[in-house]
Amino acid sequence: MNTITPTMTLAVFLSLTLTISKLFTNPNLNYTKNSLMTTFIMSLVPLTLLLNNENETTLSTSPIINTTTMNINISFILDTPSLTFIPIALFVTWSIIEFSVWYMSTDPYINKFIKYLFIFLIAMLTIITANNMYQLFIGWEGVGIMSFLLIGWWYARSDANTAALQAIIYNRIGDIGLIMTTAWLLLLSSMNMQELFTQHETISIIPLMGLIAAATGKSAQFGLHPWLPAAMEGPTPVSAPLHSSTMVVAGIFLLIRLHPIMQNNELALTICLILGATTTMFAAAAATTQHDIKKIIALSTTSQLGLMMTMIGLNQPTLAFLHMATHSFFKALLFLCSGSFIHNLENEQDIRKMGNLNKTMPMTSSTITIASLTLMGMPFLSGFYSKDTIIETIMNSHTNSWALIMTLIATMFSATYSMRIIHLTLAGYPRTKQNPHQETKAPTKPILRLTLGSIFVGTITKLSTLQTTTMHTMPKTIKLTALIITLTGIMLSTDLLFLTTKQPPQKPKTLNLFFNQLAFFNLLHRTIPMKTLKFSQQASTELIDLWTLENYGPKGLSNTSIPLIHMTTQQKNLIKNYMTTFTMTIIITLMLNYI
Amino acid sequence: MAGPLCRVTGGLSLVARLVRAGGKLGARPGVRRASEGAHVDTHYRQFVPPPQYPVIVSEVVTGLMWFWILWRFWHDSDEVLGHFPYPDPSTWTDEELGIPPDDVE
Amino acid sequence: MMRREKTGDEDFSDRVSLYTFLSLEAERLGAPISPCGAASTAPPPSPVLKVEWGAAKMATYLTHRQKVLRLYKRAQRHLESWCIFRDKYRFYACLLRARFDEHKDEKDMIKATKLLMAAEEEFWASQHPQPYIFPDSPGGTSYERYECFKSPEWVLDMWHPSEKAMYPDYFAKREQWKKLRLESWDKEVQQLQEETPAGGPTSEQLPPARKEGLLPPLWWHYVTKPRNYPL
Repeated sequence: MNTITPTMTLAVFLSLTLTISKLFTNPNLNYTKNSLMTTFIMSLVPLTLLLNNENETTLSTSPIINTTTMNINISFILDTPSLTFIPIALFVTWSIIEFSVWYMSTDPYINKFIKYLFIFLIAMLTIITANNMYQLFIGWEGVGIMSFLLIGWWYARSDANTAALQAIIYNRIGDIGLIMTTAWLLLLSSMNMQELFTQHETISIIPLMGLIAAATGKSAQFGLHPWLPAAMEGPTPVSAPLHSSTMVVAGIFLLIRLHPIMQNNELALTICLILGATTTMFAAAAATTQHDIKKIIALSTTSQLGLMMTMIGLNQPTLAFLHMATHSFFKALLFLCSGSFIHNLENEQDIRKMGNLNKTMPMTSSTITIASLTLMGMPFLSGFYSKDTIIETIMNSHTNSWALIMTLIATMFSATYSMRIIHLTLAGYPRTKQNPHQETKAPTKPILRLTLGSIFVGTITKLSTLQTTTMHTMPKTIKLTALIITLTGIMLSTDLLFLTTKQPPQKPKTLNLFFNQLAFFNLLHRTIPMKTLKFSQQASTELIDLWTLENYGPKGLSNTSIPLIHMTTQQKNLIKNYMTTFTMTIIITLMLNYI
Repeated sequence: MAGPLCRVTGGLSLVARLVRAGGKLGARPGVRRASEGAHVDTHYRQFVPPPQYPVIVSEVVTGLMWFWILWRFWHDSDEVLGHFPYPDPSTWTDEELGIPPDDVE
Repeated sequence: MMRREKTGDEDFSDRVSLYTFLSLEAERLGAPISPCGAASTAPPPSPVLKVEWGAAKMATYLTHRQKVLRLYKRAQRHLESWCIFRDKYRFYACLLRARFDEHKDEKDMIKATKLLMAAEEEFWASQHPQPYIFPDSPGGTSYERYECFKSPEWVLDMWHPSEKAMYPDYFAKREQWKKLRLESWDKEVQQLQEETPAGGPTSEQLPPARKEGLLPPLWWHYVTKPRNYPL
């Protein structure tokens, strides 16, 4: 019995928790950073054991809650996805925390910020290792809450507050699906993953739809996508782990984890496929129309998530997981590089105002180029191993050629927007004020580390046994499709950018507007609160001010009292009045006496 | 620091002269080496050239990437170009497929 | 009618006079005046007298000239968002300028108003869906970003004497400032009352100091504005 794997994994959790508590007494962030590094190295031990022995472990406590039908316990599943993703999440977060110590160094509450990132990381690891739906739900809500807090970090900005609310509300729509699925499984099946997987034949489409809704919310698939670009209101070190590499993949991870109950349901798989293909195409097209560097990268994340969703729809969760793993590195790297640029340009995020950064920031420029090449699927960099395999798999599958075309277009667009970022930020002449070289060792160390990751990780996964797809032969055109499409995208981007320098300014195309405004989803979620608030305002002003206060408030009081006052102040020295009053009083008194 | 070592080996005295304090590459007395990134020269309407460290690192990183790509391509080009030649059905003969000739009754 | 100046339609004489007065007053007190960032050390004097000039003037009606100027500025900004390369932008900016210049001597107000309306419509049709916004401007990416770290300056009065004793010079100066405020407050209010028309103020803009030796009304709020970026 292998006891090292569970021991080390629990030690990772314990170490993270202790680091947070240590931050209360010792605000030395160097210590925090180093402890995270140690934790990462610790987490490599179970991974090595896994790669050597291929044995999966489940770790359960004795039941905490006993009911007649089921026992609820804390249970960790330590299989290939979880043991692989723990070091990745730790590595990425380690680099990002090191970066944010530099990036947020002027922030008065940097310690709180680091603590939030740690809690977020623990929640993420809880999702990854959860062996029953309850535990998964705890982690799921944990990352949701932490993302709310971190997006709204600059809470004085109304945009940041809106984005934070938007994130949590869109996630909540997905969470309804997860809660429903959990309840369904509680009643009709089991909460425990292993028991659940044995009953996959009996699971109907409804809980699967709930799962897909949950993944749609968390992974910002089409329909619930607007929160992810909006989440770029948070600081860049937040966008890097939360909204690119680790948190948003939780939705995809949920589907990977629960894939055994989905794999026989054709309808659910088709929905995943179509949803994924729509998302990847839509987000990639939207990314080509944006101007904010962080939003471009965010939409590229959505596009890659759509690609992973497509893989789930094609019944290839291992490929989706592989892409998730490699994507973490280069997307975190892209974000850190853009953060470095933004810091250098004094909070300027618009790529229209960048330019010529490779003169002032040569190192960040070369790393962002490597990251973009990896994203495009340059052969033998990390992205190639997952992206190329994904496209080959789609090309060889016989399910849905519409999804295939969408994915190919999205791949082309991914090359286009990556080249657009490179062209507009690195080349040309400077279009705004630039600070002289901020490339000190503090920000570049994590960036370089992630660069090495995005160069070599793909090959490492290939050399280890993680990539389980078999080599099969295929025509050369299919094999080279991904590469050709990417090259087309690169040439398109270069040519179009060159053309734009020659053309006169034209009126915007409707299609451009459609993608730029993210399919006008903002209208939807802005209209409802707007209408409600307008209505309430009208109700309060018109109803209360004009009617209630007029009739029953001070005005009403005066209206009722003034006649009474008039009546009681009949002191007008008229003898007839006094006489009448006296006689009336006497008559009434006498009548009352004799009745 | 490097002096004694070079003097012993004799032939490296040139290097020693370079590396010694006050030499071409060594620390010069009187030249201040403030903490990195803090010192900025003034340039009129020009970029301040970035310090050496990022330039060198950027070259090294990009070189590493290209080395990796080319080296891997040299050794594993089939990952890009296809693992096996794809069989072309039009060249298959009837004999291989076991189809009897048309005139067989 | 349709004339325009490069400096825009704001005048900065008020700002200058305010600053001059503050400096003079500070010399009288023997202390260099510098704004105090609340609960932090003294910031540089750049954000001292930042007033929302445009917003202040919006309260009144715009003249035709102002409307044209604002349209011109907006059109140039949106053009800059469309043409991101400077050389191309310069070319089309000149063309745009020429189109405005074409009608600059238009004397017929009806025709001028119609031209303005047509220009507004054309601008609306060809505006940029995501115009470039400066990071610090409203709608920009770092607008009000650091507001959450600012605290009002009266917090300094709540400091414990032992804490105040750590910055003796600053608090000594601050006491002088407060004295100055007490002295001038009645005069400021008096000036405001005198200058306010009968039907209430017509604009949100505050008047400058009119007489020698007086401070501009409500100057305290300008000089004690917290710094834009926290330390």
